[in-house]
Amino acid sequence: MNSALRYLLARSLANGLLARLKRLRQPKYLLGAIIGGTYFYFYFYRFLFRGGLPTGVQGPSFFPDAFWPDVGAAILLVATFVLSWVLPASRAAVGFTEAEIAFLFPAPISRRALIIHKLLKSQFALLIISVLFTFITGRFRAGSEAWFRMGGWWIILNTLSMHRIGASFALQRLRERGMADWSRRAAALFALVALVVVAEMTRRSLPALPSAGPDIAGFLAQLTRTGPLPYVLAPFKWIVRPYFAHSAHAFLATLAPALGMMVLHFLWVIRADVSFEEASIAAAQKRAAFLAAHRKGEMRVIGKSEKAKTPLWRLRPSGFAPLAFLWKSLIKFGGRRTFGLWATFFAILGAGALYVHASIGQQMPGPLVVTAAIVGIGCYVAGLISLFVVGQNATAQLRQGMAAMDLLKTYPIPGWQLALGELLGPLVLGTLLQWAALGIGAVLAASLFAKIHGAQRIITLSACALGVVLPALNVSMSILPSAAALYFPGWFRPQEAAAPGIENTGLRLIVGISQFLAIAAALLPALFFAACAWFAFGKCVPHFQWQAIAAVCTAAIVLALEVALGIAWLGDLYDQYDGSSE
Amino acid sequence: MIATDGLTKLYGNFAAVRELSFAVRPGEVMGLVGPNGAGKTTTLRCLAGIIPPTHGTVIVAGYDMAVNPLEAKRKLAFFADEPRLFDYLTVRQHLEFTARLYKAKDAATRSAELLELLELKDKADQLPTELSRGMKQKVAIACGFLHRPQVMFFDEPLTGLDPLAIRRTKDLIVQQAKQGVAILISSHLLHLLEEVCSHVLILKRGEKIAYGTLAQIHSQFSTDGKDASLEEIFIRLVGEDAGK
Repeated sequence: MNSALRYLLARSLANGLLARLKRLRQPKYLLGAIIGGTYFYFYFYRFLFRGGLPTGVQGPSFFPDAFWPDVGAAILLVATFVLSWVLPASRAAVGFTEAEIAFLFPAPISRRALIIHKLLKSQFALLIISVLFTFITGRFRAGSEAWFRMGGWWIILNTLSMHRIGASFALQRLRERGMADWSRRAAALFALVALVVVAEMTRRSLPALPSAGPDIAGFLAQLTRTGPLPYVLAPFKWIVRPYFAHSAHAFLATLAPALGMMVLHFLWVIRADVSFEEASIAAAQKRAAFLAAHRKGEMRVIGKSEKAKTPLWRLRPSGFAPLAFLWKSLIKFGGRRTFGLWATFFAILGAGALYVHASIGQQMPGPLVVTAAIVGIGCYVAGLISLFVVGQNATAQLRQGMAAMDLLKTYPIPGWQLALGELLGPLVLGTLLQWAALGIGAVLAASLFAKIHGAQRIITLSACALGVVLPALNVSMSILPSAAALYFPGWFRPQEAAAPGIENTGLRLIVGISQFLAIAAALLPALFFAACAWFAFGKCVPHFQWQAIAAVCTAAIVLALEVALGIAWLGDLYDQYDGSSE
Repeated sequence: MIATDGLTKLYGNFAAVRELSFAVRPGEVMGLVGPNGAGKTTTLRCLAGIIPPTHGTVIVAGYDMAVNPLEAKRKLAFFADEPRLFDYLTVRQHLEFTARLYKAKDAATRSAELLELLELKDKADQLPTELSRGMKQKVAIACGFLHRPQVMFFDEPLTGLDPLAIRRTKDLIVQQAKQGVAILISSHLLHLLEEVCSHVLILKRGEKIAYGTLAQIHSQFSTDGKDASLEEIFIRLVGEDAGK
């Protein structure tokens, strides 16, 4: 390898690690690193490398071990085919940074050396991803197997990565020979369909499909070992087998074919003399634009061109200022078209839910019941997650707005209106989505549990209660993080939220814990006064429904008061904000 | 020297550069001007061997870029519009890396000279994140000068610099030309080009519409006996494309 490129890789790695270590001198990163490290140790490391979970916790394996490499090979085949031959554009782009392009492309370095540099450089990232995937997929496996899993992931990811590069070169050649993208995609899909047809024909030549249980595993294993499928799957099986090894001996035994496949891919990639420079420059520019937008807090999709969007309503030149911010946020969300699409989506789901509700007492088809249950559970889960997400989105919007603080502070608007305006868009959108999910979930849940006495009443009441308190709860969820962002802008920069590393994972955990504390802090007074109202009202009108209404209204009023105070507080922070001190 | 004959770059049916032929001899500074989208950056990238032309030949310091790209590239330096540096290499390490890249002789002495000349000595052990844009530009220039190239390509080298940095960059370019380097500069700052360039090439929609020494361009396109500025000539020639 070129000594300059070797120097670049070694120095960049060493300096990068050093810079991260130096960053730990800042308390926020040190705290993040401690919390992130503790999280990784307790959640993953001790299970992986200290003998795994106790034997009793590990569930019995439903399928025999020999079954999994076949499944893995089939998944890898489809992933390789779709990711490398169907989805990509024809232009062969190799991922270089703008600095690499500026220094290396005009330099006396051959294409082959550039590709080798790229492959070597990707090793560090692939190793990190392998470790991460091992954490995720091997958390509950016994100790020493973690190393085989990591090695297995590294081989799979490396081969897949080289296959994608090699395929992109091949596609570029096909394009240069006049093959259009659509015909190439059609040919690739045709090949995939042909493989499925062959598999189906093979299946028909076998005995009938067993109903359930480990026999399915045997049947599928037989399927992948009959007809042409074993030959098609063989190379993919060689690649995935180290991942499924249970012992050092088994791992070493499967290593040679897997490494052989890697070497073949390596030779395929470096021997291709394809002009990848232009596409690489374009890709680097897009990536740089994306990163620049991300640093500003804008989540723009790479390569997506923005078009003018129709606002939901016509903004009058005078009126309540926060409404202008809301108007702007709704345009950013996608304007009338996106809003209409979401409204249609929820209207269809709502109509379906009402249909299910209308069918209570009748014999409903099994698939409908299953679908209704899935949608209902999905709605409730989405609602639960959204409790955290809506507040976070609102805070993120406020932080993005802080980038233009110089402009905002020149507006003749009081600080509380600025704060409310920045938060309003995500809060209104989030609450509308929550109401829709809650309504549909409640209708479906009431339908599915119709036979249980009193269930409908409880579900309806709780949905209404949640619906009433949600808007205020969402605002209160965003107040503490927003205040923290205004108090310590250097600590809460959005661009660092998605950065990799243990210390950043720790920072994200801190933000998550803060959110949890925020919801607890907001709910405690509301729950206290709601309980007071419940008992006080119960003495006057001892009826469950009226007591509940009184309690919910009290909770909503308390939350609304908290929100009003919180917005006023944010307004003060806006007025006092001094970004120059950061 | 730089010589190109029939340089053409096509993107599908769209010609970014069409049948471009010109030469820049040692010691000459040619200004490459044109409105946005005229094909200036594409031309520079083709000449520097960053992207391959669709047709035509490119000769750099006597080497054909298509036949002997590594030798040709060893003789040139390319300066992009934005100084793009490696996040985790210090200023000194950028120079060490570049020295290895071009197998530069007496790299240590040359690096010390350039750090001194470009007032980077105090910043030698800093990472790019700690540098201003002007400082980054200086690092890019130092890296480009390190291997004593015979040919230099500058893409908008003066954009974003303060007046002092503009003056110093101009002086450096003129100094390099005096030492026999063939230089091609693309810039929108026409009055500054007039100060440093010996030749001008005006592009419009990928095609050459004017080419010659500054004096030739002035005499060819000035009217009413008055010596028009390059800016006036540019606007007259480019017409409705200017300002796009």
